[in-house]
Amino acid sequence: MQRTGMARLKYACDMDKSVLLNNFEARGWVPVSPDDDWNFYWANVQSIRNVFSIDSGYRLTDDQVINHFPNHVELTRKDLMVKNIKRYRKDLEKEGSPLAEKDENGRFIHLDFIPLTFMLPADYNLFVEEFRKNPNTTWIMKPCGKARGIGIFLVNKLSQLKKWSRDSKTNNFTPPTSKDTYVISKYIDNPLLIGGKKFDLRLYVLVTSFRPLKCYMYRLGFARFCTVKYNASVNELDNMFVHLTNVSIQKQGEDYNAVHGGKWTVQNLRLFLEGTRGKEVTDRLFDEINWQTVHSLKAVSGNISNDRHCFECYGYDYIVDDNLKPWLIEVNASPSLTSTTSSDRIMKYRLMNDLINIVIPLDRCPMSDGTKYHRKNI
Amino acid sequence: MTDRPLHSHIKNPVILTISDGKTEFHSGCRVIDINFPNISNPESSNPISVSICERVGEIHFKNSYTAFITVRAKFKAQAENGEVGGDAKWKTCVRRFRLMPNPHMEEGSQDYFCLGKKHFMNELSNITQLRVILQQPSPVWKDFRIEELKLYRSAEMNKTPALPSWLIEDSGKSKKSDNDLDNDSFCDKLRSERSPCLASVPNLEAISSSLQHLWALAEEVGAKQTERALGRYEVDGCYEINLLSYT
Amino acid sequence: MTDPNLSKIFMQTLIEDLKSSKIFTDLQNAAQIEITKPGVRLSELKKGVQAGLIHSGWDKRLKNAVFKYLQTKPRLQYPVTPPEHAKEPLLYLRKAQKSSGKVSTKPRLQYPVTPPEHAKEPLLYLRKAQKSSGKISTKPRLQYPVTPPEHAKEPLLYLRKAQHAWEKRILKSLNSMCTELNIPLARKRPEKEQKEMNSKWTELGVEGPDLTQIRPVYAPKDFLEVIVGIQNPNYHGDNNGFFPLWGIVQVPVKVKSINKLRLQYSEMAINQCQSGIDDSTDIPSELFDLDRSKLGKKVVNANHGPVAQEFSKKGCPSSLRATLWSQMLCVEVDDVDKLYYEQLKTSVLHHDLLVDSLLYKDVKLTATNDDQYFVFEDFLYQVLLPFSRDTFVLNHFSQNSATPPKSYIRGKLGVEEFSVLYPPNGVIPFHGFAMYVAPLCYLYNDPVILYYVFREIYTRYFYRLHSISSHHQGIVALSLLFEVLLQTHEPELFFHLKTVGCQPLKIAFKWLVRAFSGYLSSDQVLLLWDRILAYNSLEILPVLAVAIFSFRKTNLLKVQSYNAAEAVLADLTTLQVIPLIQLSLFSK
Repeated sequence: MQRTGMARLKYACDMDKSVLLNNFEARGWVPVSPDDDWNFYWANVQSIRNVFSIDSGYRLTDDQVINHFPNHVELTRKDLMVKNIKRYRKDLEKEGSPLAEKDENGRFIHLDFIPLTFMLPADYNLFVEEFRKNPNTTWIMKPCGKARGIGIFLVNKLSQLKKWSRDSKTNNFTPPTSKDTYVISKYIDNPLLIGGKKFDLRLYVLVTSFRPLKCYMYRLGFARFCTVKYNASVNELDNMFVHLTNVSIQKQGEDYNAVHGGKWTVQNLRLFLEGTRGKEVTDRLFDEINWQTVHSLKAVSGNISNDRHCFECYGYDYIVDDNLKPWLIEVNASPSLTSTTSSDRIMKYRLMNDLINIVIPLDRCPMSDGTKYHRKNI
Repeated sequence: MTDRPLHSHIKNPVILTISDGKTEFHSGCRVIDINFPNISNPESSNPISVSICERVGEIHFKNSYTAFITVRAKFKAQAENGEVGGDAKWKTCVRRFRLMPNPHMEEGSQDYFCLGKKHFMNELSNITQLRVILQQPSPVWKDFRIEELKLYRSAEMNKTPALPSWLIEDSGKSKKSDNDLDNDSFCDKLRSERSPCLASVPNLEAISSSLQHLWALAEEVGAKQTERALGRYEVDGCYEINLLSYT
Repeated sequence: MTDPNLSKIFMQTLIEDLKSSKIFTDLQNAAQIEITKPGVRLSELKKGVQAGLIHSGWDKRLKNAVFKYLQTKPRLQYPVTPPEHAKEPLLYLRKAQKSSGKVSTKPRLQYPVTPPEHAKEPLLYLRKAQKSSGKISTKPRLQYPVTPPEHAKEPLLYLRKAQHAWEKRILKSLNSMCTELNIPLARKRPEKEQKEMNSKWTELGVEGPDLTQIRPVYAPKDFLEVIVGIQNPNYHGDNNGFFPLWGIVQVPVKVKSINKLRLQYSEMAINQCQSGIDDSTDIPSELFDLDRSKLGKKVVNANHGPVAQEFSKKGCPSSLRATLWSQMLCVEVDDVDKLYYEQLKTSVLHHDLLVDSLLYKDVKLTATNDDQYFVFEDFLYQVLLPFSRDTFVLNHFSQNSATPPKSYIRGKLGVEEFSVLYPPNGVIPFHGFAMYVAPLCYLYNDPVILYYVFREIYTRYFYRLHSISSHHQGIVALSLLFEVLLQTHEPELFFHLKTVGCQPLKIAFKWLVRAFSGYLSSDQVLLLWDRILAYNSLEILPVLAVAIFSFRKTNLLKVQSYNAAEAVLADLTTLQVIPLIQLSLFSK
């Protein structure tokens, strides 16, 4: 079904995902290879590096859009994100901005949205100091360069971190690659439980420009539930099914159900929270989530090259604790477009549809005779 | 009330039709005649036994798809100038009492009814015969009748238990029970008689009356055992059962 | 009540009931405490105590208790069973109970509810039946006709028989499952197993019993077949052409006309703002939402059942819904209730019932597969398993045409002293039963409160949806109301569906039996159940069903087969129920 007045754009796509391809076909777009003259390129992170590497000599023309910012890692790599946010907070504090207000314990009131995090091996000693202050807390170790829950494990004893302790002692001046660096964050051990189960929130945020900041929060996010009962006991630390909510890990659990995929719509979550906790606190929760998203984007907006050919759809992961406070866990550059259930597929299809409509509004299409067309709102 | 029903001969219901027996006519009307056992009144000058009933206070029955019920009674003729004679009169006592709010629908069709004094237009005393007329205008029912027809003498069925006085009394006045009244007046008297020197000593009468009050409350509680279930479903801790029974 | 005698008796029954309930003892305790307070003067003892009690909110609690009583007890009929007769018809046993001061001395009376057999006995000669003896009972006090208890359960004989036959089928099915699979109906758990289960109490969904062989005892469509087959032997039906009904229900129970329904639901008229439409995010909140929330908070603070009901007629704001429902149902969970729940939990641990496996299977088949309710799986077990052990539920059988199934302790077949009810609460679950609980999980995060709210809703309303009776809110009447409304207001649609072989009730029946739970999206179910509680009637269910058919009329008129019609009506999750009901009731 071709919309009237729309030109047949040329698209290149690195991923064989139906939610993308169906959207392209519905618009009557023409598939081309990434090496050809494309108007719209949905690339994976590998190709992005090629496209934007200094050696490639690749120049994007006015009628080309691509789905990642060149150095999105400033936001999407765990250690860089933490670094940027910490710096952002310090800057605001220096400015004397009211946002940087602190409470009597020295914690930020408005900007306290990431759990206490350290980089390993770089901040190992700082971490140990913190750990010794509260030896009974649990921490979560995440490799910086990996996604989908790979390589994550929980720590409650210093002995589990022997490797990084050794690494930090060597006088090694080569900066660690993302393969070797980990972030260790304070584990949120009082997550909000629904039906006794832990969950996290996945929200989609589209950014079309960083300076000025233009972002869109998609209204149909979802909550991912652990299939096994949440158990805070120490013995369960090894049982990954309980603690991690990544769908790929949950999928392997015996109780995983393919009908609903362990996912709840944000609407259901709202309904539940309003019914059991009240409307005001629920509104406040979602408000805070919006603010945290904006702050995180602002924190990196100085560092990300604001290439006008780029847009990006991030997958934001939040955890809500028992006091209805949201915590930003991480930001994904390539949120999974695989669908686990039919409602999932519909939701992601609609997401892509709205995304494309925003990124390429109808009046920005090149004419069918090939004349170049200038974009508004650069 | 353990009234036993009055003795009466209840005849089978008779369906009314047009006199011409050939045409199919569903009149929707049945009549039940009730006679009373013959009683001979030894005191009267005329020792002829007469079917008579002194009084009918209530009529109880179970409905079976009758829509309206009419009760007519034949009263014993008034003795005039000492003679027994004169025409006995039929009078309607209950006129088309509605049993089924909607004759086509089930509501009320199998309910239990009690016709009492307030339904009767005349008082049913000294009657010789009763006629109960059943009507069912709706053609959807195959059959209609009443069952368990019983007549009772007394006017009141259940002596409705008296409501507690505290419920009936006016809310404005506070009627004290005799107990309280006595205590209070006694206390007042004592107080007036007593000299004001022993103010610190607790008023014995006050204590005793409140104790009495408490004791009365406790007694009441003891008398009214709660019927609340204890919730046990086993028998002596055992719940090993066979299959379910069908009876 | 127009009859002063009846109202006196009703009041008497009410007072008796209140006196034997917990609130009376609590009130007396409170009164005793009041007396000891220094502010009370002897001369004005009564007033002082009364004022003190009112001050601590006792008048509200009493009012709520009376309200609850009025809501749950049926009308009285002549001749009236005096209340103590209903409890125990035999005087000598009544006296024995009172003097012993305990609940009972005889083992057969341990069962918390005097089984109806006792009360039924004097009237044995009335029942045509399984008992061929038909001897006239020789009880010492043959009282003149009192309404037999089975008449209070269900006045129409043929419906009683139909219900009885249906129950027998269910029992047979359960018994055969028992013998085929070689699973006992009840089994005492060994200590070790009890401990294990106790430790897993909050996560029973993880490892349940082996359910591969278990199948539900019956599903709504089986029940529909039974209802369709009921016929009044005294009824000519439509041979006469008098009752030209197109539907399949053949029981001529009276149902409300649309005008009566309009009056009944007048608070839902189009010109009245409703929660569910006028509080949506598109509409500025000053118009309705803000005021409604303010008013709602005042209503909640008043803590009075009838006020909560009046308010909820226009729907409950989502944050106040949980409290409003508790107030309308007069459910207040105190420490005694929590202890009682623990007792129920212990009963679950002690014995393993076949009914438990049925409940497990039901949850796995329905709620666990539903993307709105799967999260609450464990809560459902924590509510349903104790529910089946709760003998308090037996009380509702005096108004329910159903009878709890009976069995005997092994080895004592036929011995009355050893007869028990199975399951202890007398309710055998069917396919979809768990869905009665699921929507409540969106409101109550605590399994104990969730339990009591569910129990109250079930024993007040939902039991009528799966037993055969002539009650105007029973499923038979609701089905008939659906058919009559559809035929009267959408004749073209009904006739078309009938000709292509699709009786509309066959599709709508499962919606009615489940009160739409699992078919609509969860927020809509809650809005619908708001109205059930507020108007104290299930009649809104067929009204909604007709509205849905009406709404999808265009597509339905095109179908040519039953399957096609079912496909049109398969997915209701996008529907908004309140505008639909308004359209259907008020716009013609």
